Amino acid sequence: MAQKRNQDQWTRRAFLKAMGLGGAGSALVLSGCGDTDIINNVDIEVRKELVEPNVDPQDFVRPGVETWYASTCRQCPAGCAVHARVREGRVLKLEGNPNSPVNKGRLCAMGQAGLQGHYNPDRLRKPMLRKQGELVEVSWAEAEDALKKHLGRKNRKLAWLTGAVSGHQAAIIKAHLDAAGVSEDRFFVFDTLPPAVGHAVNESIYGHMMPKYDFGKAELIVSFGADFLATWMSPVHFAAEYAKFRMPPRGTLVQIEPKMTLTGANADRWIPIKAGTEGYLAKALASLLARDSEYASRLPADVLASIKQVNIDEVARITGVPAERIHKLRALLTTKRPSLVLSGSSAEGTAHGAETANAIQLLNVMLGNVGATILPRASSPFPDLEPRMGGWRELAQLADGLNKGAIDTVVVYGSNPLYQAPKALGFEQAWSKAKMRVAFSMFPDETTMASDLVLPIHSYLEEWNTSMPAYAAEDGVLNIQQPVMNPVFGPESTRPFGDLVLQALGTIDGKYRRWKSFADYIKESLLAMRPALKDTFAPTVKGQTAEEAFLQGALSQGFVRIKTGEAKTLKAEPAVVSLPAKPPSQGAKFALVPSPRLGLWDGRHANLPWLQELPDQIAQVVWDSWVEIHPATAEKLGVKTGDLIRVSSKQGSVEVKAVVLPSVRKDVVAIPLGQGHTEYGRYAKGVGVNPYRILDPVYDKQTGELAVYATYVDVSKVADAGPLVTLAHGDLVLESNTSTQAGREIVKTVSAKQFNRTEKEEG
Amino acid sequence: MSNYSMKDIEWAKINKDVLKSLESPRKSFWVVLGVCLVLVLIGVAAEAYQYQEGLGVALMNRPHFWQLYISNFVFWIGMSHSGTLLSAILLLTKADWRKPIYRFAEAMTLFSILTAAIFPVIHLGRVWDMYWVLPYPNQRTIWPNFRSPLLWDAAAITTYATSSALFLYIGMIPDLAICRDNAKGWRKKLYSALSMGWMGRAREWIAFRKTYVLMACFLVPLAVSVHSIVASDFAMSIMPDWHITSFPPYFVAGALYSGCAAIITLFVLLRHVFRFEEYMTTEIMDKTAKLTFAIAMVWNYLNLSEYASIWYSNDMFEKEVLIEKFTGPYAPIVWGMLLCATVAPFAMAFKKVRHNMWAMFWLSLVLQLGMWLERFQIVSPPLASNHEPWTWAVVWPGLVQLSITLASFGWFTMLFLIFCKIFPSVSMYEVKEMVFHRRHASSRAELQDLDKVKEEMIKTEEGLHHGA
Amino acid sequence: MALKRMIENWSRLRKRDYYEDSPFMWGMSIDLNKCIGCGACVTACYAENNLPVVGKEHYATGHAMHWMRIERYWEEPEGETDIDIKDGEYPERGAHYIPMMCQQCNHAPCEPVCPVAATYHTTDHLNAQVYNRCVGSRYCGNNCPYKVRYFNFFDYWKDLPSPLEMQLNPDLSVRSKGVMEKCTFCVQRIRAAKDQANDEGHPHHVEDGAVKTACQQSCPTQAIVFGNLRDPESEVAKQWEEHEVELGRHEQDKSEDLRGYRVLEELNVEPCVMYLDRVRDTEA
Repeated sequence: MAQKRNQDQWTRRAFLKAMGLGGAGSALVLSGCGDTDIINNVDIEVRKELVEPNVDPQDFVRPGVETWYASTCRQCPAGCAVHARVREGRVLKLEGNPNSPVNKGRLCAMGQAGLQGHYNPDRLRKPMLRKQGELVEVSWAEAEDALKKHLGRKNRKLAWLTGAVSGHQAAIIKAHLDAAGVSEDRFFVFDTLPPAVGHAVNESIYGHMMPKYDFGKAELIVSFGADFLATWMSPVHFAAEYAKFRMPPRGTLVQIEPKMTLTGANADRWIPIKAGTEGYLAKALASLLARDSEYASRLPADVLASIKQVNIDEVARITGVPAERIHKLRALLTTKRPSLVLSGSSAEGTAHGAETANAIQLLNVMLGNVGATILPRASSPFPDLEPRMGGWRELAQLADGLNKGAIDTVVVYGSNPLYQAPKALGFEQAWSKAKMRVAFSMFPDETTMASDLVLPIHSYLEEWNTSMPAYAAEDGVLNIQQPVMNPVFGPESTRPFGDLVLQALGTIDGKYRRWKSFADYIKESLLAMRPALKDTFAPTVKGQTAEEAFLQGALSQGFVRIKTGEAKTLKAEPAVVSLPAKPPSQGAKFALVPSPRLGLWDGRHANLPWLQELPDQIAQVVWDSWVEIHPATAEKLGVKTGDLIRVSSKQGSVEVKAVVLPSVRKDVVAIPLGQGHTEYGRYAKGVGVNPYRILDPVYDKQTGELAVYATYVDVSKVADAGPLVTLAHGDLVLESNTSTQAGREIVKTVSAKQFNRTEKEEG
Repeated sequence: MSNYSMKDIEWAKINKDVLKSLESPRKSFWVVLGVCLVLVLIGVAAEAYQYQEGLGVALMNRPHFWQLYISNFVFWIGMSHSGTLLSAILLLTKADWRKPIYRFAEAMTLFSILTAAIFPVIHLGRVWDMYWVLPYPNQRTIWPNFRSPLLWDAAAITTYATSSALFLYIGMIPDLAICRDNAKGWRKKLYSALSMGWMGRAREWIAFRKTYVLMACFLVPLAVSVHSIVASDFAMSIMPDWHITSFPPYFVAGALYSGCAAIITLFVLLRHVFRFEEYMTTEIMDKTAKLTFAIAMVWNYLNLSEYASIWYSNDMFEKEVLIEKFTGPYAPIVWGMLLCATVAPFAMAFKKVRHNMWAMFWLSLVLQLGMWLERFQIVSPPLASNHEPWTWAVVWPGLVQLSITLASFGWFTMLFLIFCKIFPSVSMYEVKEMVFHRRHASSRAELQDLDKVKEEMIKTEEGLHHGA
Repeated sequence: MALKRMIENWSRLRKRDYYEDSPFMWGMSIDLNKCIGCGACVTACYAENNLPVVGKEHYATGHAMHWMRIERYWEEPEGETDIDIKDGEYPERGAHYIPMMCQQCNHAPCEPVCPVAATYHTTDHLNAQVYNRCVGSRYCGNNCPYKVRYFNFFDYWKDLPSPLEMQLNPDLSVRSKGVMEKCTFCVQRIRAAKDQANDEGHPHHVEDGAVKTACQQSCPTQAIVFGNLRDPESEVAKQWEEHEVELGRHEQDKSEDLRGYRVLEELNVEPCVMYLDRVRDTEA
């Protein structure tokens, strides 16, 4: 029996043991009899002194033995499935789930760095409420009251603003809007990188916003600025597809864009084109192809008529791409088939983005790629779980609603418009008009810090959820997300997003009270979905119920496959090409390319030190912003790497250091996205500049999306590279490497012809 | 062997003059000592900071893992070769003009080794584990890596420091006895202890002579090997422009070169400060300068042949470094070195320069600057353009390294100043010997005869002694 | 006694390959046709190997600790000309990416120069670094032709704010200031796999694929292949054979058409990493 002693009765021995075992929790084995001390709730069995490591043993935790949990990465909307390595109750490493059709076991840098979001020292740990204009930390009880008060009621002026969401999270947000008596068009989704214009154009041409691409089958990919290796929808998936495409017989990649992206850096031919003129090149190619009746016959007469009259030399002048190159491209397109023509952000983010995307997709139609490399989708029985993506148009609608007073309560989750929206959009003013702004957030980002009620939520490694990939590699895959460890800051600091929404829902509508937590809600939904799933999981252990077996199987697989309908054939109905005769002249100004990068993405990863320290793939800069300038332009301006440059548009200016690189056009300057946060924790705040802030409010008329690549700027030198240049030693590295390996043949190159001759085909 | 004025000096005057240099330091002495002390303290502070924070504060980086600490190490080790040259080599070759100037040169040897030895230690990332480099038997039977030139370094430096200290001390014993006989107070005690009861008996002289020559015989190959080993630090690596077969002789020549230059500097200073004009004569300077000139030419030859062999080998890596040296960011250093160490010594071809003390003083400083730059350009530019173009970067030493460099000069000067005031910086007995020679011989042949007479005399005395 | 051991093994010591009869030689093959330079491997390495984030200031002074880096060159092969566009104005053939980490040389130049033998060759033909033994002379870093050794110029772990330290991998240590470190081919994973093989009763055979390095595991294009070169059935050994790259030769006697090569092979350091040529369609 345990015998209690007073502190002053401590023996030296007991004291030493307590020192050695301080805070060991219940780690000691307690024996039934013997002389046992109870010090600081630590039981010490004197005679045997069995001591185990300092761990709070949970289920499945064995000290020194790792456990792997299947879950889903939420670092970008791609929805890669992951395996999380857990030891002693801590998640240590994320790796791709090899069974997943999305990422096939691989994971990009951003996915790896999810751990640093999870363990981020700047994570919010207490709810905050705005009192007398100041955000102050409050208790959860008070925060819950505020949550119930503002979201737990019918409110016709409610709106939700989220980043790309899907799965059951999207479903309960919709349910909340329903319960509050608001229609679904108050569910605004704002994310800057998913190709909103492309989705709209795809919808009109193919009848589906995102058909499936078969890279492996294509012999040629001509990409108008689609940076599929880094920032386009599902980078890990497309990188794997790219690897397939590059196996013998090796496909050829041509990338057409004003500033080299990672995809451009891997292209066989990178064609620098004047910003905003991609449509003219596509139209010229279409016109050249149309001389051949095989291609022309695939187009309706009116569309064909719209591309008939093109002067190639004129196009060469407009686009800056030599006429010979245009003819050569046409020759490539006709010889290498099937091919795939992609349009990406630099083509779609122009003043005539939709027309440009239409002209580009026209090529696919003419070349007969639809049905060959562009494949139809099967319909899903659960449309509510499909990913919701949106862009600038929805943000503008929200701002409009706020300005007009039609919306007074905004709930924001996973979106950061106060960081991303250009000054010219006036979103700050609209935001300040809302009476109540509720933020579900992990970090003190710009939008969170400008809200009235801030609810710190669990990281994606601590909570339950389901999601669907933004680009489905296989139709009908529902990813499951489960907590891989106990909340880092304990259950009293952060709460699961789903639980909080359910709580608000339960206040309005009693039927939602039957789920104690979002976890129960998800488990129940998954069980209910069973008949609609392809996967069945038989009991593996004696006495296991079918439900338990299903949950165990689904959770360890990390996703479930939904039975989908037959894939319909795609239609192929491009619209008439209606680009203006020539783009407006910009004089001596430079086109500003706000370039996204694999790493910081749209800025959401600027608080992850691993990603801040991952060099940009092209410019190799870390921990900073920079402006890329072509050597010829730099010479003209008298600028060298490291000099401070002022880049000014009509909306304002930013000062940023120059990096002189040949990978931008001479009439283009590029500033990477992701930096320039005014909030967002120690790693992001005050680092670099945000090019989005100085964008001109130019919109694509068809879709209402902001033309991100349509701002023209003046560039001037502010100061010489001084001793305070952050690139200090990097400076020389950059300059020496703009051209040379100094004859060392570090990277050797062979021609594709030789490669195809000597290498065997795989599989 | 023309007319040395030396032969007229009274022996008692020699004692008096030299002993006078040990007494009553002037105000300027304390000022200079104070400045040195401050420099040393700055260095200590810099090292403490570096110890606390990590080596990063010295602003070395990848690929510049080595920088000023190593070039200073090579510089100071090089400096130490002068003493050995003057006392040992010139002793063995019986060049008797070395006699008035070898003592301070030997002291310089010892102190520059002591200065040099600091650098590999503070250069280490984990200074507190420096003794792991030494081959001592330990319970874990872990030996250091005998293949590593750094280990050879550790062994060579310790041996060289010990031998130089012994050599200096042994050569000083007769003089210490003179000091003992003229000193009072703590000095008396110190000199009594150090002179080990030297009475100037013939037997003592015989033992002394034998030991001294033996030490010299030992020290000469040691000195050559020490700097060859230092050269191996570079030559044994595979870095372009370090991996050069001619580095060992080149380093030895460079060492002697900078050492001689340092001797000239101290020669002029001591002559001026202690008014040793009668002992440190223009003729001796003339000979020292000629010797320096000869060594400079050897060094030049080796340096230029190194360039030529790199150029004609057409090795991609080495050639790149060579071109970068002459045209890249380190070009000012390289051209500065060529100006100071290759071109400047030609001034010594002129008698007018050789005979002008202050001209020689400034020239010797220029030569030393040249040799210091040489050490820097050996270490840094090859690292800046190494095998891997992606890592090419130019890095200049930071404040911590510079302060420790300055401190090393302060440390050396401080030790030397203290030495000058405690020990006779001119060898009294050897000068007497020289004066004796000058008095009684007017040609080399006579000098040799004189030596024979002396030997016989000693032998007789020895025989007498043994007989008794 | 080490000395006694040395004398006993003298004839072995003089051999070109000291561990000739070891069943393991870990090697790698990196296909530059597949590598896109995205940096997933770099971050995976940070996560697996407790690499410190040094921050902007230390990065600027060249103190970064990434064991793996992606080099990016622009240079084009000779004889490339372009229609109408002045040569070199734009890098129209894209960038040249190459992941560079410790090449685990068989004749590692870093090994003989370490004064305390902190870096040595294991029986697995790995170039190991013993952190405890390292005194930080940095000679190895100088002598590494690939410049892939990284020195702890500071105690970076002190800058790690809580709770980021919870992510640290308990399978390997956190390094303190004054110690050299480098890519280990994820030796902790190799160790675990070998232990497992031992438990399963076949200590001399580790199944191909049982060890995946963190970089290999994460690579989105699977450009990196890792395995035991001594196991003829392993993927990496097959690739080496297919591309006729052999150890023990300082110049490969192989057909020009084959893509395999080792970087700076002419230095005769015998790296265990083979690269396969980057490919470009010169007709595009």
